[in-house]
Amino acid sequence: MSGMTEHPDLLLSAYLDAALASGEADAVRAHLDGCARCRGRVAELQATSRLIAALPQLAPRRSLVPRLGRAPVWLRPVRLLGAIGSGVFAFLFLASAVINSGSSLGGGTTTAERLAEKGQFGAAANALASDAAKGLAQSAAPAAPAAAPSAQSQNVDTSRNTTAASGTPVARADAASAPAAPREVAGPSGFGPPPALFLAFAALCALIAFVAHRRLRRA
Amino acid sequence: MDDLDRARRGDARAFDSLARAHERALYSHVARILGAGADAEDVVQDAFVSAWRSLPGFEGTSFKAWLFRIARNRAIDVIRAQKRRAELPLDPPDEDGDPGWAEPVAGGPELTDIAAGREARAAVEAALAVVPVEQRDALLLRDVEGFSYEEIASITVSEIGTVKSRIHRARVAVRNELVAKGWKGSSG
Repeated sequence: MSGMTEHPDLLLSAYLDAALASGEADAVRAHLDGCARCRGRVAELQATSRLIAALPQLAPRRSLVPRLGRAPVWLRPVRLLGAIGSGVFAFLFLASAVINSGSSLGGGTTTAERLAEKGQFGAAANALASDAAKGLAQSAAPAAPAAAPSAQSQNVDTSRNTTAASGTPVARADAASAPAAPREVAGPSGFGPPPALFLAFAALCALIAFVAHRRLRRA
Repeated sequence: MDDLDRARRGDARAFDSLARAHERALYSHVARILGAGADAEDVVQDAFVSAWRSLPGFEGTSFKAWLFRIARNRAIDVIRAQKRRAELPLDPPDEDGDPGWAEPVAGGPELTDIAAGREARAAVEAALAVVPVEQRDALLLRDVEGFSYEEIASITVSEIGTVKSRIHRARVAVRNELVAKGWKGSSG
């Protein structure tokens, strides 16, 4: 092809784009050296190519990328409930912590007295104590350790007080009017679930809300 | 691990990132084949959905070329459907002969001196619009997107000789259209 006598018109674009095999490209190059007409055509094809390459990108009127990672519909309610649950449990944690610390601060000086007060409050929480009963229970507070058998093993003084007070009518009346009290007093934290449990639930709900929020933001 | 690997493993965010990187180029190409508007937008969006579904089976090296292949095939299908309704062929049959070189008229600017201003862009867009679809497709893939002839052959499912012929014919056709509008060829 090196002895190219005809104009290689059909090869000029491919030559321009360096898409010819080396032998063809050499032949076209040799022809161009001696042919002004073909050199002119190559120049015009190159100019045309540059004009096309300079065309700006067209913009669609809307985003064309589909939202493939769309979050499930139930994720929003889960995030909301998680946030609410976290707040509620945080409040319960604080409330129970304040109540427990308040009852322990406001109680007597001995373990037996504190346990008695907790037993009294449990009875009140179960709606078994009226104002009068509260007064009665408060007045019976020093004798109430009778309802806390576990206290006997914790404190020698308590066991002495219990033995002394167990025969009084006030203590018997209190025990009769608050049947749930002994069970609650027996627990280590007194009233209701321990505050740490509320804190754990609050953290769990907050974690659920956070994960749901992250997932919704990614979608 | 790059976006393509993550997308292949089902990461929608990685695919989103890839798709956004090619969105305008893909739309521009399809719009220059189909015409700008809702049809071109639908084709590109469908191409993205199709690419996402087929991505686990994608084993090529050029995601861009693969995406263009999907989109341009859909665009060609749309044109075929339109032409079928009108009982017209997609393009005139490919010819082997010289496409013809229009002689310029005196007075206009030389092609080699045309600045890429608004007037020149509008003239080139108009000139492209009269080029047969498959030739225009090949020329745009080459001159605008910079694909190699081999990649264009793969995207358009054509022989390399067909690609060479289509690109040359399309380029000459655009040049002739510009010359017919008063641009002066440098060899004129």
